[in-house]
Amino acid sequence: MTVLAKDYPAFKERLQHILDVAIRNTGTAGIAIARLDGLPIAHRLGGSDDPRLAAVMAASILGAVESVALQLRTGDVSDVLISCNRGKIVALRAGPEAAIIAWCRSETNLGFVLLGLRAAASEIAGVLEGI
Amino acid sequence: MSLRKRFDEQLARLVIGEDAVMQLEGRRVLVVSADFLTAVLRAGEKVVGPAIGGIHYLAGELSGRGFGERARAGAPGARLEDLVVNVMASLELRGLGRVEIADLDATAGTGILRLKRSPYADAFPDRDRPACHSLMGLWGGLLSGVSGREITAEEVFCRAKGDPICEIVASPRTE
Repeated sequence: MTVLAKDYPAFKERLQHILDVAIRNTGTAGIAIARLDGLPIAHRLGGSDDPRLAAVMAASILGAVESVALQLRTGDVSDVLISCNRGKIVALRAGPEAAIIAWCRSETNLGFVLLGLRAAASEIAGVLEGI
Repeated sequence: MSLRKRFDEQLARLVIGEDAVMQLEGRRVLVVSADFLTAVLRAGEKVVGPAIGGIHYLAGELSGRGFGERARAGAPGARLEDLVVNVMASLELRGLGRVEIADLDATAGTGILRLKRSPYADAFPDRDRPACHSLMGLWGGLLSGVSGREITAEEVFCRAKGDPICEIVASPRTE
């Protein structure tokens, strides 16, 4: 995954736009895109959230669950849902090279969030595939 | 000064107490085999896949930032490029393999680190992706600590994926 310096602003802008739309459509509180090796690609996070940590966590959550799935022979992982007492966390693959992580309040409609995030993941995969 | 002579000088500064705790310049050190470090990466990959690279990057970054901040605090007024070169020369003496630094501007936080014998690249031949995550983080963290800016580093060439050397490029974070 390599972006030429001249293309970088447009690339970043496209990803930020996808994240903005995803946040608007799903009501998630924060969202980050990471390479599968945990390096950040783009994010829409609160000022106190560390995008590098979010990126590593996204890749780690998916990586760990994929290892479990491999051991149990349950097939490819599409998404990981984590329910906490004050919110929900969703991690998804965004194509072969990236992961996204998003979180939302407990009362948010999870089906709605998943639909929106899957659409975003598909768009992100398309953008990354095009570079 | 020859590498051997610099090594002997560094060795003379290594102390070990009766409690078997070894220190170099007041900080605890361990002499471990390169296999130990690469085994941590290998085991981590089994659990979290490629994401272990990001974890190693963060660990290297933390360590590199500490090196940079201590170097700067220990030599106020020194040329920043000299601090970076000295830290890397010290790491070279710990067995990192020969390193080469190019296009270094420590104030801007830019520079290229080339490693001829990265232990990670040695341990992971025939990969389709870079292997030297903690060294990437270390280079970015070192330049962050010295420059006072947020610097990120990317390994653009790695012997683990068939390149002749490992090359890590640092630049200021864009966000």
